[in-house]
Amino acid sequence: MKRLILITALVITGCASTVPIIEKFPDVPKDMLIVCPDLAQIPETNKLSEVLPVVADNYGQYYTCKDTVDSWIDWYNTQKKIFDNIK
Amino acid sequence: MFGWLVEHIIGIVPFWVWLTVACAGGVGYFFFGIITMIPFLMPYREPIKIACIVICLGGTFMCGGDGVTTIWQAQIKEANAQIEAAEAKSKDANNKLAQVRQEKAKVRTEYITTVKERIVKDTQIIDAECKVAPEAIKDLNEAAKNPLKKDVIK
Repeated sequence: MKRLILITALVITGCASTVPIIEKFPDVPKDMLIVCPDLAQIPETNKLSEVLPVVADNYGQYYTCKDTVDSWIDWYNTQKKIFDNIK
Repeated sequence: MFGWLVEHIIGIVPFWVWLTVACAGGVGYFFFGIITMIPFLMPYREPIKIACIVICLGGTFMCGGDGVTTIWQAQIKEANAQIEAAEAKSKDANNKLAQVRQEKAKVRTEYITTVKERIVKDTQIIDAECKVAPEAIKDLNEAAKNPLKKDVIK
């Protein structure tokens, strides 16, 4: 009986196998990996016309960073959908 | 070890060979069981029976391995094809995203440039009745600082 169990176990090992499938982590557009810079500082001045361009630049900077965050969300959702379809 | 054995040997030898080996072992077991009833072959009865069992089991083992390997190979092929398709989709999605981002950046840059040009144009009107206090600049710059940066915390 012991021999039979041993032989059966040995024969069943033929069913064991390894699956060589490598899935690559998806790439990200390179410009999305750029860190958001700090907001620009206003130079010492008493003229509002010199203040406004810096404020405008900072607003622009905010929208650039917002777009990057939105793009990351979009990228994640798209890649997840693609990944989930692999079954 | 046995997985390796099956995968490498099965790739070379066709399935029907293993089937033949297994059947030969089974048939041989009964055949030699009868043949070894002849008195001068009687001493070889047990070794031959064991050899036949081993051959039959070995053949069965490799038959099973061949079937499993064939299924696995088909599944691997399918999975690899799916991965390739997914990678292509991912690349395509990234290209589209990069293109959209580029277009948005262009629109933003143009918009900010327009606003700044307007500020330059309206400089005299803006500065005519407004003088910014140094405290306002200081406070605004403080507000623009990231409080989580070490040099900002006091």
